[in-house]
Formats: sequence, C-alpha cells, structure tokens
Amino acid sequence: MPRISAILRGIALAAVLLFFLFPIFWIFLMSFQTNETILQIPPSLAFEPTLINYTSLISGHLQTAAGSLDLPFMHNLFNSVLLSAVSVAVSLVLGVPAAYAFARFRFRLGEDIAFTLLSFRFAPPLLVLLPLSLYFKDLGLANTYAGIIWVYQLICLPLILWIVRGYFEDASPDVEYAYRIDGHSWWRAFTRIAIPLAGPGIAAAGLLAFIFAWNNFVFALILASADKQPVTVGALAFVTASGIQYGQIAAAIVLSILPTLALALYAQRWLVEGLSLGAVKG
Amino acid sequence: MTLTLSNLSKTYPGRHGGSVQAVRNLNLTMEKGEIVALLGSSGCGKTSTLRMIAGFESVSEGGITLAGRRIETLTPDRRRVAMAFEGYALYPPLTIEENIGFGLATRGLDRAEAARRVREMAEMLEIGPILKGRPAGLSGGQQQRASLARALARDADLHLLDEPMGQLEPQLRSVLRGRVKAALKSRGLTAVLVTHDQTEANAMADRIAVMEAGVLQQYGPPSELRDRPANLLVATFLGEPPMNALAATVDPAGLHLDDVAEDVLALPGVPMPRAGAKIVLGVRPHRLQLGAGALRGQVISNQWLGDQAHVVLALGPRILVAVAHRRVAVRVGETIPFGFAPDHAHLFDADSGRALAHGMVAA
Repeated sequence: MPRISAILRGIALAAVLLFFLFPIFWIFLMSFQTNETILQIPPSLAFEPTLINYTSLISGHLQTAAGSLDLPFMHNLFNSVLLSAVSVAVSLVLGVPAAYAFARFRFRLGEDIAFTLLSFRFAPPLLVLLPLSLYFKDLGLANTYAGIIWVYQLICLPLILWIVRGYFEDASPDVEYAYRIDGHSWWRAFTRIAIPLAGPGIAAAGLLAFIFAWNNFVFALILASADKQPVTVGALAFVTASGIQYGQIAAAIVLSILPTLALALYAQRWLVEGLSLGAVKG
Repeated sequence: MTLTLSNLSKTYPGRHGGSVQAVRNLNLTMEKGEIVALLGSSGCGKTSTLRMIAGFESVSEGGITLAGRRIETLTPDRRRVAMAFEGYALYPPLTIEENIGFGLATRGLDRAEAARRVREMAEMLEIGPILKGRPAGLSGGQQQRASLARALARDADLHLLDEPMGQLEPQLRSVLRGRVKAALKSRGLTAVLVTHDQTEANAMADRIAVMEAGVLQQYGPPSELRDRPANLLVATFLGEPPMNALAATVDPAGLHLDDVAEDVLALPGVPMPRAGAKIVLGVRPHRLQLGAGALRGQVISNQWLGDQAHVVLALGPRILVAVAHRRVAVRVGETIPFGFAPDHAHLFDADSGRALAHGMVAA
C-alpha cells in the first residue's frame, strides 16, 4: 500500500514539474531558433541552433523582413534591474522598521494603518492609474525613475511589511529584552538581534517583492516612456509591423529571467538558514 | 529599602476599545538581600509587574525606586537589573559559555574574573558539560539553567527570576532551589522570583506576595500566609489540596453550617463575629480528623497516594477533602464522623472574603 501511494506521488510530482517546467524548456529551445524554424508545423526538436536572437538583443538591432529596427532591450533590462532593486531597497528601509513596530507595539490605529497599507495590494492598478498619471504630470514625476519607484512601493511595501511582521511576531521578544538588559540600547537590540533573527523572512519578502516589481507591467506602461521602460513593457517592441519576433521574445525572456534567478539563488542561503530558527526554544 | 513599588498600575488597551488593568495600585517594598516571590495563577499580574521592573513594559501609573533611584522611566539597559527568562531567551548563535559570559563582557568585567564566574555558575547549576554547546541543541531544562546562570553571573541591584525552574526535573529542581537560594544569600543579592509553584515560593522566598486579578492579596513570610491568610483567596490558593471552605452563619452558640442539617458547631477559643453574620469557614484538609468529631459525612472516595490518603467526604451538598498520613480504613458510601480542632479554624467574611478570625494554631 505505501509503495502504491509512493508511486502515485512520484507520478503526480512529475506531472506537476512537467507542467511548470516544460514551457520554460520550450522557450529556452525557441531562443536558439529563427522565426522560420519556430513556426514550422509540425514543430521539430531537430534544428540548427543560432545565437542570432541573443546577438541582436545585445547589440540592439533587430533585423526583420521590413528592415533594421532599433531595440533598446538591454536598456530595458537595465531599467528593470534598477527599478526593482531600488524599489525593494526603499521598501526594506521603510518596511522592516514599520513591520517591527506593528509586531512589537500596540498603538492607537495600529491595526488600521497596517490594514490600509495592505489594502494597496488589492486596489486594482487601473483604478489609481488615471489620477496618478495626471498628478505625476503636475508634480513633474511622470517618466522619472523616482516616480516609478514611488509607485512601485504600492507593490513592494505592503508585501514586505506583512511578511516581515509575521516573522517578527514569531520571534520571541525575550532575546531582545535579554540583550537590552545586558546593557544595550533599543536600536542595537533591533539591528543586532531582531533583524538577524528575522533575516530569512526579510530575504523571502525581499525576493518576492523583487519578483512582483520585476513582473509589473501596467504601472510602467502608463507612467514610463521609452527610456524608462522595464523589460515587461519593452517586450511589446517585439510585436513588429512584419510579425511577432518569437525567437527574440524567447531570448528576451531567458535573459530577463536571469537576474531574478541569480537573486533567488543568492537569497536561498538565507532562506535555508531560517529553517533552523524554529529550534530556539527546546 | 532596595526596591519600592508605589501605587504601581498597568493598563493595557483592550482589543475592542476599553482597557484591561493587569496590575492595580501595587505597593510593595523589599530590603536589600531579600528574596521575594510573586505568586499567583497565570494572568494575575505577576509577570506584568516583573516586566515593568525590568523596563519591558511602560508603567501606566505609580513609581519604581531601586537602590535609591527612580527607574520607571529609564530604559532597561540603565536599570541595573538582571533577569532569567521563562522562555530562556538565549542568544542562538552563541555557545552556552558565551551566553553566560555575555553580560559580564558588556559590563566591563575583566576576562579572568568573568571566566571564573561562568565556571562557578555552570558548576552550581550542573551545566558544565554543555558549556560548548549551542542553545538549539539543548533540552528545555538545560536552556533554562543556562538562562538562570546568565542572570546570576551578573552583578545587579536586582535579580528578576521569571519561573526559573519550571522546565526542570522535580529532583533537580529541589536541589537547585537550595543552591540558588544559598548563592543569592551568600552574595547578598536581592531577587524577585515570579512563580506559580507555591513549593518553590515557600522554599526560596523570605516573603511571598500573592497576587490575583492584578491586586496584591497578601504580602508576608510563608508562615504568615499559611497560618493567617488575609482572605479566602489566599487561603484556598496556598496549600495542596486547597483549604476546605464551608458557607456558614454565625449563631450565638457557634456556627451553623448552611445547607447542612447538623447541630450548631461550637468553636471555643475562636473570636466570633456578631450573630447572624454570613461567613465562610475554612479548614485545611490535613487538619480534618476522621473517625471522631461533631460532623458526619459520607465517603465519596478514599485514595492512598503512597505517602498520604485523600478522603473525599460529602457533607450535605458540600464536598470536603481530608488528608491523613496513614491508610484510612473507610469504605466508599459509608457515613463517618469527623471533625477538627477549633485551633485550626479560619473564618472569612462571606461577601468580601476578608479574614475575620483565625484559630490559635490556624494552619
């Protein structure tokens, strides 16, 4: 009986993995093909790999049937990295102390403020975009990195605040108290004890916020023009007058996965360390 | 006077508006070198009191004076107190040795002296073999002893011990109680012990403060609390099994037990309230004598616990427990005579629970 369930489990896991990983595998293959081989029916695994998609993306010139086209993909990629990284950094600086306050102290309207911040997550972006874009024009924030990073706080800050708050709440404040009673200030207890203990949560929240910011489309579409656009918006350029450039899209996807993947691999170290945190109390 | 709590109150904002008063107008003083136990059930305010002294909770009202300084507004690092935490609160990345020595290093004690203290504490609390271990790999009892060692290693105006032995094996606990008390006394340290374990409070404390619902019920030496409880709450809280309590009405000739069709119970030598007063009569289980006396009860159960017998009796609608230190030959269902010496009676006001009179040798 246990053997049958183990086999079924294996099959189910394999099916799920295949379901999620096959598209990525297929995109990876597509990125080494030209539009002609991609679009041939039936599709074939036997093709001559080409780096043309990558070279045209990196050099910034797209050769199509209709002629050469400038493609600011690498600049888009740089924008994505800049916008996401700075947004997450700002959110961490603002969100981690706020999360600590919400976790440790009960104050008037505390829950209401925390919930209001969370509610930014479930407001539909289109609802706020029209007034926001008008205000941003008046304030001179339209099409600036600062303006977009500000709007990205709607995505990152609630996420970080609520995830990290949970981690602070799970960690007993007693270790901080012990540290303070041993002769240290509140600030040192926060930076030396509370933040390291919540480290895995902060890493997880930061990573998640980075992915959400990276994947954002609609804010950047409305608020950023060409030179500030991230890859999500920049990818629209692949839909050209002479057709959709599937090969370049695939290569662009592979390239734009890389920074997030690298960050995830780096953050994994912190995420795994968190597993031993639960053993503090015997 | 080393520690003085004056009109100390703690009010927490309630979840749905309003407020919860965890500690009300607490007045308490401690001499230097004294060990005081804050004793009470959970939620009685003892931990809130401790945390206010340590500086982890703000003081809603009142003041705290420690060694001549007003400390209620100081941050914890400036109060010169040391604390053993119920939840241990050891620093996870440090070894037990480093944990115990941590506060000493911060306070600028020289290296050799700090190391000597750590060894001394480890020896006293029997954690020598685990000094190189880290908290995560240790049992609750070991971590608790490490936390206690960390607190006791420090020099401080006041040592706060929050349930410091709750996780220990009973045998080890009774050994360490004596050692910790001796260590505190020999160094002349002042300590507040928070516990819900009355044996621990009795064994270690010079004076016990019994708290309930945020209010100090009685503060005095263990013998006084046992012999002359200030109210019914203290009387029934201390002692195991708890004191028997019977509703009664004062009669010119003695007491008439309510709901019990018995004659008036005479209690010669006990100062009686005025006739007609509604009172509660308290008698400790081991002061009830079975086989002879003015009362008659039906045996509900008779259990031999290895060193003592617990006999439960029904007296009309009332249930009483008697403790004897030898086997008692009574059967369940049997009705037997029983009684108690008037010297062991306690009388409490039925409404307020306040003690009205105690027998000569009350406990």
